[in-house]
Amino acid sequence: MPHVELTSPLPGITGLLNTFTEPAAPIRDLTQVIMRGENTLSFGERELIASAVCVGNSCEFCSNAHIAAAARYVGSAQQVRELLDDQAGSSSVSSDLKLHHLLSISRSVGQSGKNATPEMFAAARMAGATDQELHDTVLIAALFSLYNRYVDGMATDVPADASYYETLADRLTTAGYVAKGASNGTH
Amino acid sequence: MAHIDLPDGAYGIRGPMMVRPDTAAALNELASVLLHDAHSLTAGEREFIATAVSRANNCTYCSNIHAAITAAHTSIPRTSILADADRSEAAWASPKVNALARLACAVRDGGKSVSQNLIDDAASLGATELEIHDSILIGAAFCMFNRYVDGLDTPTPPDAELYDDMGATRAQQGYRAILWKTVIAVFMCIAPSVLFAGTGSISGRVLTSDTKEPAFGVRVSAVGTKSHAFTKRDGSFSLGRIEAGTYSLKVTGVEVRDSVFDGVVVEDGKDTRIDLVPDRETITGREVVVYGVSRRPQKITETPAAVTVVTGEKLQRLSRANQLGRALEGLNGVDVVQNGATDFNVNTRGFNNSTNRRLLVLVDGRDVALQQIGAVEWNSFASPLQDLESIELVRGPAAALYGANAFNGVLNIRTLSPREAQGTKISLLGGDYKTMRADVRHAGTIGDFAYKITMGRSQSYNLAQNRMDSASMVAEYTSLWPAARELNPLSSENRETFATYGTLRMDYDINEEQTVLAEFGYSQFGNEVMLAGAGRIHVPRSEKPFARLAYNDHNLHIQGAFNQRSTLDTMRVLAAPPGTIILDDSYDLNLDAQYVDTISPGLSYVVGGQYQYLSVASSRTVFPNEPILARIGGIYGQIEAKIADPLTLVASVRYDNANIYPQQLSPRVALLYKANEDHSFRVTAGRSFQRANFSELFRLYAFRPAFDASGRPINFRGLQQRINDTLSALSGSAQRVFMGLYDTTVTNQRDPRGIQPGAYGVGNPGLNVEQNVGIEFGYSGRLGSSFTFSVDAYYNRLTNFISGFLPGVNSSYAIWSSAQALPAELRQYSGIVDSMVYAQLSPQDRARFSTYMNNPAFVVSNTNLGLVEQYGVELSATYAVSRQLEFSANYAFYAANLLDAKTPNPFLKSGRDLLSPNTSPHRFNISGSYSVPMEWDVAMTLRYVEGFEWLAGDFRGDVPSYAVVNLNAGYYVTNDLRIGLAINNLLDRRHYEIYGGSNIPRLTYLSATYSFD
Repeated sequence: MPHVELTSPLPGITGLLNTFTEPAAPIRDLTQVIMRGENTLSFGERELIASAVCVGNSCEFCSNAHIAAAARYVGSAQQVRELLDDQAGSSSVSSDLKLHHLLSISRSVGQSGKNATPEMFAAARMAGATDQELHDTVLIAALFSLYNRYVDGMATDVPADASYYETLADRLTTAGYVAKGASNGTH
Repeated sequence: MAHIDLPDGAYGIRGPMMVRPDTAAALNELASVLLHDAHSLTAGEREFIATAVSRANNCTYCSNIHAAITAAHTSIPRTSILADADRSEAAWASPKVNALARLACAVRDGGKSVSQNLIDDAASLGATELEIHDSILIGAAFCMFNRYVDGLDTPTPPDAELYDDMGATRAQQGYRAILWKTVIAVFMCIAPSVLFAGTGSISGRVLTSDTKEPAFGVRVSAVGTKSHAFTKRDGSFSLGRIEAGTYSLKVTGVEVRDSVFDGVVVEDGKDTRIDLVPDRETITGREVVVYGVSRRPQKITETPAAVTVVTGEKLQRLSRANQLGRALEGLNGVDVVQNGATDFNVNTRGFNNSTNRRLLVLVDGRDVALQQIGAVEWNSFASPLQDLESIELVRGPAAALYGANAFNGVLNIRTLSPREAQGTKISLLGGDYKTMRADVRHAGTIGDFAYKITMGRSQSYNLAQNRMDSASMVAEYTSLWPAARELNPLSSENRETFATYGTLRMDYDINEEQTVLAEFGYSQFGNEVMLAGAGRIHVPRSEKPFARLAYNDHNLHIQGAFNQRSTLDTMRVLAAPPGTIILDDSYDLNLDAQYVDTISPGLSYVVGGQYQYLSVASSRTVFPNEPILARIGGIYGQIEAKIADPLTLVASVRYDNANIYPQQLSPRVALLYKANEDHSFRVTAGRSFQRANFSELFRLYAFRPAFDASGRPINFRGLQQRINDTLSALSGSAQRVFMGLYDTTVTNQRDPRGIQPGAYGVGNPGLNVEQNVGIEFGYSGRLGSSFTFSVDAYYNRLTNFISGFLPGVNSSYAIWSSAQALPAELRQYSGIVDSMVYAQLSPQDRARFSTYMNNPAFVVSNTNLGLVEQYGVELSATYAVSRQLEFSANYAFYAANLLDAKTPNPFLKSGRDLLSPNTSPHRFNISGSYSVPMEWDVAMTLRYVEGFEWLAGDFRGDVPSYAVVNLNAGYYVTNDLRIGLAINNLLDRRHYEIYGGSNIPRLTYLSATYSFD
């Protein structure tokens, strides 16, 4: 039960964004640009970076939604979870070294900006990450830190049915993060 | 060191925002919605919540900048806000706001930490649901902003005060002010690689926040680039050829508070228009920055010496009066006396002179004195008043940084740089005494180069008049006759004064910090009549080329300068026998290097060195042995230390070594006590010295002959005959002694040498320097924002004055006696002969009757003499009734005691007959002005100078009290076209300001100035 009354019955972030449309607009714009704008990082990589933050912040709604979305690009939800869990990078799922380092940065920034060390950036850069990719990784991690705290801080509801996350993943992979219709279940 | 490559000079979030303007647009919009847009919580309250979250996240940049924004909204210092934020408890905020801050901080630990208790607390204190939501979202959003800033390890400003500047700007403008520009960037970012491909430009205006008036002379720079410009009178500026990208514009100036405007987007091939609206500097004069006191920029309220400064609009208005000298009169502590049309003597604090040089005058660091006599030719400058950026007069001994001749003070004149002068300006001026003047200036930029070209001509009919006959002299003022009588005419042609000049300056920016510049200039001028101790000197036509090359960065300033002065026609000493001419062919090279640094906020220093090489020659008209080569080297240093807030100690010292005067050590110590922003006190003690000029040291030229009581040259031919008759009677045999009382080879009856012994002014190479040791007390204060005032009181002890031409003071030239001229058998009668000779002479001429090259001659020379204590008080007050109407007044009291003034010559009186301060005991100025910027202005000034005694060389007499009213008015026909009117001495009260100088009538000037891009 959310701390304040929402005009939208939708769970998680969607109800918040649909109720508080004024701040929602720039949040959606920012998310669309950083997650779906032109970028050398793929949609999947960016969803993985987002997911790593959500998992680290233990935000149930956000984690499920973005793991589902990431799974559309990189395989199954199970594989995504294995990848995110392999923080040491020892497993074969972490064969992409650059992605592994970007996830480390993302996870650290999700905890605190000061947790990201110069060594992490150096390692990512050696694995081929560009300055813009590093910038975007930090901004994605920062943005999802906002989402996680917003969603949990407002004590939003989680969907009663886990299939809701798949519906959400459909929207995120096809229409992106732009607002569409007031209450038809978009992010 | 940031984790990724960010633009230089952009701190905190501004760096990554520049790298990704598309995401920056959304981030700024979000910040605007959450923090700045209309809301039931004030912007200050929401910023406080943001500060609390940032503090909880330990984000240095975010917590400081948002504390600064809160501070700007609430007028509570940033540091207090930070302390409040640490406790999420601010005394100035309501309990509800503090509860919301705690709520937002809970979000930081994770959304799940937001307990129902915290929600209920806030609600019970009156928080609405929207306020609760927005506080949580602020908490969440700042967990994003903080992570963005720290996750990239963005740099923080080196100086925490920068937060205050940026915060004030942001508080005033909000976040959306920069949004529309970043929206453009969103489209550009579709292909980020295009971003840096080409160049564009930024242009617009700077307007003050309160009245939206254009701010003039404000520096606008694009942070991280070399590009900068200064606003014109209508507030406009233009920054050309900037690489496409997103920039922060920094605005600094006297009228406005330093501000930074983020997110200005430059597109390839396009001009971005933007109006910048910084806050107006609310308190007049607070941020006036002066350079000359410490040879580094500092606030006028924090200088270790008294200083008078004129800049900007005020200087432009004063330019209507045509002459630099006149622009200075009436200013606090400034003593200006006018002689001819363009001949002035500018002084401060006593002991003015007819060719005054107790004030060092520097134009862009160049010593512009006429080296032969050390005085300044005020009509010889290669810059009109309109081209000056500032005039600063540092009052009091300033040798500790400037060396020789910064005796009473330093007048620092700085011309506009090309970027400050951008555009084209044409000025025309006409007025009384056939005055005409035209000036043209053009300045612009080509790539990293900025250039300025100036040229102009001015002319007028001299106020100085012919002084060969009693009628014309008595018409000037009766007391001039007979002492000021001259033997050479000053014809109408001789009175057509003129000055023609041209300059070219090029600045090259190596980078944002380092600049090199080269400047060349030339002026040709003439027909001014200078009043010197030996009488008036007519300067028909001379030229002064100059060049300078300088390197400047934040710390290091190096300049090499070359100045030359040559006469093209011969200068005539009007009082001397016809044919007594002076030529000048001199130059000097000056090298200056200076390093300025701040070790910590309370500790800074200046170190520097100067080397001067002078070559002075006169085509053997003045100096028997030439060229005279002088080498002067000086090193100096100053340290400023905040010994215990608010007490600052400023200690300076300079050492000079030269071949024309003994080694000198000149210290200065000042203690500043800045009680608060409104009141500051200062005690300064210092020492300065003046070197003898080349004329005083080495000259030899013909001097004024001896006149009888009726004003005719005494004829010694008849006397010689009577002496021989007397000797014949006494000795009982015919005597035909010739004692050299006249030159038998001169047959021209108009040449006194045919009837008199020679008369010479002779230098004294043994002269020491004059010394001035003084202590002063200064106070400057303010009541409210409209009333400012200052008090400066000083006490000086001056010794070893270099006297003017005096008889019998140079031991090389003994008092004449006939004993050496008479043959041994007649020597017993020398007493009688002497009395016959001396009976012909006035006491003054008796005193200078000496033996020169074994012959009788009238010799005057120089010596060091005297001990004087002088003291004075300078009061100044300004009352701004409104932004348009202002009254100001200043008063100077001056007194001097001659403790000792005597010479070895028994015929000379001592005391006041030898030494006079030439300064009025009471001077005051009252002025009122009304100005509507860019429309019209008018100012009226009353200047009163109480009478005083004048003594300079042969000129001795009273200067009666005088009071004059001056009027100065301007009208803007259009933004580009201004017309001006200046009337000096409106009531036409004829007076003279210097004994022996010209009578000053009413002088009216009308001017028009047209400026365009």
